[in-house]
Amino acid sequence: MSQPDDLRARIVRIVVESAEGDLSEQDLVAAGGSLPGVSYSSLSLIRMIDAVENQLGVYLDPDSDSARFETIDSLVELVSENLCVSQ
Amino acid sequence: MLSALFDELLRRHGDRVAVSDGETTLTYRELADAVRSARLPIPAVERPRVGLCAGNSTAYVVRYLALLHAGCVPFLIDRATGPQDLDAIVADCGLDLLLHEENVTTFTPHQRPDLHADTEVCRFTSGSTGRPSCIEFSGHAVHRAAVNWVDGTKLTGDDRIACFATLANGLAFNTSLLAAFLVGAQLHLGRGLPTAGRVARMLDGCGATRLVGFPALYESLVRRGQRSLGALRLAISSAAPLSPEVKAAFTELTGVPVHNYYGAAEAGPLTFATEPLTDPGLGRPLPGVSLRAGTPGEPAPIEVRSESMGTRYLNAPGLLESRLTDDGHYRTGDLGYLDGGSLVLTGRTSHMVNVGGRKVDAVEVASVLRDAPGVEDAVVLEVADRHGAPALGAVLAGSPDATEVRRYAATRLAPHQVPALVRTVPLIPRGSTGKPATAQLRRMFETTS
Repeated sequence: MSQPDDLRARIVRIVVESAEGDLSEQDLVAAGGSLPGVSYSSLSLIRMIDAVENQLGVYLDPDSDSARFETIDSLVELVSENLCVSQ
Repeated sequence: MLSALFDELLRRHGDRVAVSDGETTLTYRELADAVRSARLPIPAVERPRVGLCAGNSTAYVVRYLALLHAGCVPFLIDRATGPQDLDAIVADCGLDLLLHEENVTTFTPHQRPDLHADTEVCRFTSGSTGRPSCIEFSGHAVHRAAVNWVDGTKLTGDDRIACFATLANGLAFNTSLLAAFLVGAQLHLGRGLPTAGRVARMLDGCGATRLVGFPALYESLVRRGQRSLGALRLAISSAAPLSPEVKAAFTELTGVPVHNYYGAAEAGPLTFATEPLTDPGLGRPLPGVSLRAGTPGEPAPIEVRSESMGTRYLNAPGLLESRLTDDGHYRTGDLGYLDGGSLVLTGRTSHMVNVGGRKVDAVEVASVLRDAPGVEDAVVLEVADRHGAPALGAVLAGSPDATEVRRYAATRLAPHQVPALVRTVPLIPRGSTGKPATAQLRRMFETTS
């Protein structure tokens, strides 16, 4: 199982790579890890969820857990919980 | 006529499953009961104008039918409509009531532009007037759109439609709602983001035979390498062209053909590709549709006449009429040609751009951006994002902070109208006629990777 720091770094990378617009890790940090804070689009969100599901083998439901898709912290926590359940 | 028609259909199909949203499933009989017992705070005015601004759910369908049943005119508003546009709709159209997901707002309209005597439903399109245009539809037009869709696509009572487009959208409204009920098919409503994981789960769960969705849904399924999609036989993509690569990859993965179709908010569904593997374009005209376009090598503006045409724009008198030719064909603003009878799109004649299935008025967005701090001038255009997908790009002149400008835009526009990509320049490059040098601007968004 990934260590939390590894998982966080992976998720940050996925979030940045899935962005529709120009987004860097620094932009994300400057916005306090907030996805609405960097105007993360719904298309970016779909790509990001696909990538998390593909790479980490978990299923994420963006509606039942919608508030948890708003920051990197809550997203890492959500993925981490799902990883535990699926193992 | 729509209320009486729905009453008759709900009676006719009785105990068959009518609609489901994953949480609630209603048979046609149960839907009829729910419509009759719905309690909506309808104001005591003539032909109450009620906005319905919510996501897909069985409750949405109940409310829509209950409004028709109560003699109201439903105004179906996209849930993603931005606050400014929503305020404009309420004021311009003289709405008496607005139903959101969970709350209700009542209004005392200052102006109430006359509705056409035949109007039974109103829907909206991204206007070229800087605000959404409200299209009035007669019951006859709504009915004919459904009848022609059933005939042209061979929809039957054995079909189970999984619809991920919101019901306020023309794609869903015309292909899934009344069309499904005409033949007694099942309508399964997808909610929220159409990620591959949830789409696959839903299709598996409800045994869907037809899938209706925007290109982003198909792109997601392809990215996930989704192979099994249950009983699915037919997939429909619309609102924006599905790239040939995604279309081919989807069919190769799943064995399910993707049928393109072409429609216009003002004219309803217009074409359908019945033979998607060999069709060179978006298919042939549906029954009741007259369509004119150019020839291969010589594209021309597309003009259409259908039985499902809107009557007029409630909030822009004369505008829709001005887009009609002398013989009643609507100029769609698209360019294209007919190839062996199938429509091939080649571009737009206007400044509307199509991003991810939603039409965006580039002039409207640029006008908002020009008011943002530090922006002296702005041009908005369709560009390719770093994944190669169409995205909204903005070139700003002046000394703005791009992040701040996007934040500013997000408070005034719907999320899909906020440019995903922003470039700043000291001065917008323009040609000798004063028009922005589009090719030069577009090159600013080219990625080097």
